Amino acid sequence: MAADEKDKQAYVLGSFLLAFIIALVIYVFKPGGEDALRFFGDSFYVLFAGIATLCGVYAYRMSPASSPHKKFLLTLTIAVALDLLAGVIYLIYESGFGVIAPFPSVADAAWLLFYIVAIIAFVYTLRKTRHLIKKTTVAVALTIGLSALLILYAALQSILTDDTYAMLDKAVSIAYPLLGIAAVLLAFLTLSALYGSRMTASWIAFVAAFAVYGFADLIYAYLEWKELYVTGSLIDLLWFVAQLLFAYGFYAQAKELR
Amino acid sequence: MSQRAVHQVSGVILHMIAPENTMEQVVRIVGDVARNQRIIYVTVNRPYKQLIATLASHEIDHTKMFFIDCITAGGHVMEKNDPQNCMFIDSPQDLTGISIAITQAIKLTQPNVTLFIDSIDALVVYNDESTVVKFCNFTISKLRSFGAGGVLLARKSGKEVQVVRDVALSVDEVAEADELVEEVT
Repeated sequence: MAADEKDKQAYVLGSFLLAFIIALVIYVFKPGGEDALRFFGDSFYVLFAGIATLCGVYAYRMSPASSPHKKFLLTLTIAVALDLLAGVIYLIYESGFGVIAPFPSVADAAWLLFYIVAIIAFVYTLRKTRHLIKKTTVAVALTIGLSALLILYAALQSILTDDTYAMLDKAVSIAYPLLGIAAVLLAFLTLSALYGSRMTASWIAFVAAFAVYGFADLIYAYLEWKELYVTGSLIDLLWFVAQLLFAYGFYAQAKELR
Repeated sequence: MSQRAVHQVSGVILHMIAPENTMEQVVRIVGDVARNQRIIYVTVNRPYKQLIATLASHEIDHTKMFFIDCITAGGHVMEKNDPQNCMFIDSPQDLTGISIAITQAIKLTQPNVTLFIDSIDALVVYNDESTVVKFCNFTISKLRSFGAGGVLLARKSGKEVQVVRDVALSVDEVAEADELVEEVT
């Protein structure tokens, strides 16, 4: 890698880290109280989702014309853009209309679509690269998936059996971690198919992003059920980490495609 | 991998070939595609003469194919009795020369042409992997711009070379020749 290329990468990663540290400091010290933190939290979400979307567009533009890779990057960028859209809607709800922690809302529909579109992106990629996956890896992925489902069932059993919780609320609460598990597994299988390529770091970043996202959504579903979640909770930081991992994954692909 | 795609290559396919009986598998794929399309064959594994002898022994008409031979000894001097349907490249390291030869061959043989590269893992023996990846991506873009098909052959081993994984998302399909042979049979 050329020296100026290394400098550019260090600058990009440093910027991501600095933005996260600023968010962390604001979350820890809460300047301006809870109301200000709610606005900052929603704004940071939009900012980080925006960075991820921009990096996705950049990678898409760098990819070879008409290639499956371009289609994958387009689909995953649309997914991340849906995350951005959801963040903007949530910000409008909380800071515009004064509706605190709306659930379920239109924003949730956009977030669920984010997962669905991302899953489509990885299924498409796996259809192209399935011959590069070892059977043992598929077995490992299935085992992890089943274990994750069992843990999920144990964790959310209280929500499922709660008669006071509305059906729609239950469905959305369960859908988040379920879709998260599916996305992580598909991203993991894609990583295993393409492990060893120049873009390995970016595939690892995507797997990690979905894993962090899924974990954060599981906690969110629980807190939402207990009516404990408000913007400014520390789990917001997990979403920020996931968004920056998406941004890095896209950036790393664009770097190799240039 | 559908049977239609075997007979009529319309996109660019990366074919993983089992390490056993590689020539048998290659010949069957070539023979199948040759029924409907003209073929440009870039050989990095076998000299032209050996290749046409093998094709002839399988009753595959090679006279309508065009060959780019990268393996016959470098410094090949053009002779009167040199075949008209073969270009000799000095070395598999001369990727620019191979690329120019491919362009010329496509222009000569269009339309309805499919390019075979046998094989990309052999190219890695002579060049570094990142250079081969760039060459493959450039060739794939070229094939798309000409509307030509392409079959990139790669030997399947327990540990595929990096280049296969790097090219996997640039091609339209990654296929296994084992399945292909079964489907065709």
